[in-house]
Amino acid sequence: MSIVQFENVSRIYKSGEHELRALNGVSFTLDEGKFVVILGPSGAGKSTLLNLLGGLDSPSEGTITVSGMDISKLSDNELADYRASTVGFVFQFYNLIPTLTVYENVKLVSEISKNALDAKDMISKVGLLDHLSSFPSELSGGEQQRISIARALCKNPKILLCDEPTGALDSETGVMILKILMDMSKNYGKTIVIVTHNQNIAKMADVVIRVKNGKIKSIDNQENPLSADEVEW
Amino acid sequence: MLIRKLFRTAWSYKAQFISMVIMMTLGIGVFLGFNMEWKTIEYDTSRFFNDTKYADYRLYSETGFTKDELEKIASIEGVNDATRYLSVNLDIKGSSKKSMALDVSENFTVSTFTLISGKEYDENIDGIWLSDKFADANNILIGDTLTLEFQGTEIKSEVVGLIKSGEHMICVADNNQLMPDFSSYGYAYISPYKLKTVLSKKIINNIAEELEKAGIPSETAKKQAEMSLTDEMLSKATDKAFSQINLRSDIKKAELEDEVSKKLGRTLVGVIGCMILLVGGLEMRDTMAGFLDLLDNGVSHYTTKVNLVENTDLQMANSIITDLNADWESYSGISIDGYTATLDIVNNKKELFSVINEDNKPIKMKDDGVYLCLRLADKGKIGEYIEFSPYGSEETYRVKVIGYNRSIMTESVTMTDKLAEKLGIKYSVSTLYTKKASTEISSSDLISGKQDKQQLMDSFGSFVQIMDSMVIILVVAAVILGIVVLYNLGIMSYVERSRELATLKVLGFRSKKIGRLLISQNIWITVIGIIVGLPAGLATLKWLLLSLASEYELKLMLGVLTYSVSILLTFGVSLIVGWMVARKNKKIDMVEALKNAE
Repeated sequence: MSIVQFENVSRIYKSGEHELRALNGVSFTLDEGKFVVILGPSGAGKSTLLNLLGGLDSPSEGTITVSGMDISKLSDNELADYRASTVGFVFQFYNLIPTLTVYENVKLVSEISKNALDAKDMISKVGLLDHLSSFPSELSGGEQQRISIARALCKNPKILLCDEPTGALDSETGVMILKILMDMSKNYGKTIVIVTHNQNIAKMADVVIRVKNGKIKSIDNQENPLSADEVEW
Repeated sequence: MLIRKLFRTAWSYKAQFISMVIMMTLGIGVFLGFNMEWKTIEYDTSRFFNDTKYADYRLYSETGFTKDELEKIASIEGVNDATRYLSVNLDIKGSSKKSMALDVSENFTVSTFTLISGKEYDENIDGIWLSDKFADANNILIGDTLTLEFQGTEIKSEVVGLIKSGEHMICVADNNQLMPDFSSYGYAYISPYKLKTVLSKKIINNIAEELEKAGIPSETAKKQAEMSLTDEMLSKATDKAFSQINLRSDIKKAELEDEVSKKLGRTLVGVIGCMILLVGGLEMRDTMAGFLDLLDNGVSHYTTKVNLVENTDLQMANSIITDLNADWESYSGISIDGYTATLDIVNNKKELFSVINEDNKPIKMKDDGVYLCLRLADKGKIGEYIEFSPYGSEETYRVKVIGYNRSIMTESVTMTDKLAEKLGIKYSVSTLYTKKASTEISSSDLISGKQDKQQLMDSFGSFVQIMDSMVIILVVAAVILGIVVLYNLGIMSYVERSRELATLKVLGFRSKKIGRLLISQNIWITVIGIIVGLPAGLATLKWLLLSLASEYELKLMLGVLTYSVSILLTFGVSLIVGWMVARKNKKIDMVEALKNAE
């Protein structure tokens, strides 16, 4: 069953008389519960695609439908509600609130999400129950990223959007993060969309979308994706 | 290239840049402005004092000074110039509410004036040189004739010049008048020649009066009186009239300049913040208003204050006291271990004026000791004895301190007339207080001036008006400064936290909720600011009053309205700034804010 549908989506940035098409007439569909990797070199338009899907930006042309809802024409407040209920974000640099503890950072989202899951449970799932009272600055990069995943999942979103989630981590920690993401996809039926330029991550994906110059170059469905442990890093 | 970078950076941070310009403008405009005004006053005053040969020392004698005595004093080493001097308060004929100080500087080498328009000073002419401000306020022009009354004798003179004098830079009728009011009180100079004419006329009138009493017809009496006037009589009268010798001496000048510098140093009060400015400014007004209320309702219950000529003893004053049903006071200079103060002998049985305690409540005065004003409290504790010696007397008196009082103006030791009599202190009656209106009080040789309470309160009114303008400037400055500082802090914290705020938006928090968060943070900061700022404002004013207004024993007063206005204004400023910053949050670019790597 499809959860995401892009129809002829373009994102155009204007600067004076100049026009830059970061995405140019993109169309694709994603099924629910899939582990999706969007691959492409820098400037290809993959982050723009993720931002549009996450409701951080709106398309200049075309329609984006998520869970049957057209998000391309939503107001600011409606987009905020969409982000609160439907999507979760994991960033390359974690973006935790430095003045809140681990527990507070995760619990924070229950203030806006109607279907929030138990914060402690989510922290336990990423293996950091011992660090409930720690502040982000007291954690390693990998630990911070795990907390950021716990925070994203605590909202109980349908889609988890990850922008270079292992980009700032060493390979060992990166593998651990990818394992967690894959478990979440399998065990909770979440749709995971990872944007990366790391070809190896693509070997784990159910679907690989290759982007180049603002256009979809290819969409590959992989019958037997590898686990994180099986991939050579 | 670097210049280009500088301009572009300034443009990028234009809000902060403009804020800094506003803060600097305010800083220079308001605070340095006030300070510069003091510096200007200092410069102008010292130049003015120099130009008008302002006296460094004033010697007083109840019996006046002879020419010999003047020469002796002038020959003292360190004395540059000396003159016999007369300054006496006179009524203006035809106007019961206008009076002026009439001065004569015999040598015109000390305590002179600068001419604004009209004739230069000439010791041999008949005219009068009048204060330019008094002339302005009363529409008097050069060439007009002014008639003054000097103990029943008329002094009629043509105004020949308009002047300014250092001796009357702060032109007030007496210690109770805080601000000059040129519409009712001014000053003028006449020449020694004119003084002699007046004194001759007065002596002739006195002799003629005596002769008339002896039954000689008026015309004949006047002729005989004119013939009997001798140079010796005139010389004696002149000696008696010159009750002052004014000196100029370098020693005093240096000390004086030191004092002026000290006073100015104290005015360099730093800026202690928006709240402190608000509370300090408004509180100053409250304190002044409270002071005036105290003066009007707490201390003064009379209608008219009547000043008597010097050396009027109680026996001489008795008939007027009875006639006016008056309370009275006597002021004289005393020395307490070398410290100069005023001895205030009081008879206020009719309660037409009150001596008040520290809490501004009237004191029921007792006859077994003296009351020290608050500024003299360190001279003796209650129950202890102090010793004082009146100037011009060899006597020393030992008295017990039985209380402290709040003295509105003078630094004084206060006692009842009964105690003064018991101790055998010789005193003269200085001032009477009566319920009678000034128009109902007939003139007398003993009366040197009259002053309505209302007139006195009006003179304070003009002072309050000046204070109001200063308070408005302070409050406006405080509000602008508050907006600029809080806005800058808000923007800075917003820039620093933009990544954090963007994260909250990405997570799904609505802009409005984040805006409320920013405003509530501002409110908390404001609450803390108010809790710290209010007592700091009080402390600032207390310090200001101690440093700048030590001449007046003002009680710090703070109205509920001041508290409310200060708090509301500060809150208002904080809310406006919070709202301005919160509005910016709506436009935050989540993608851009999150793109920046840590």
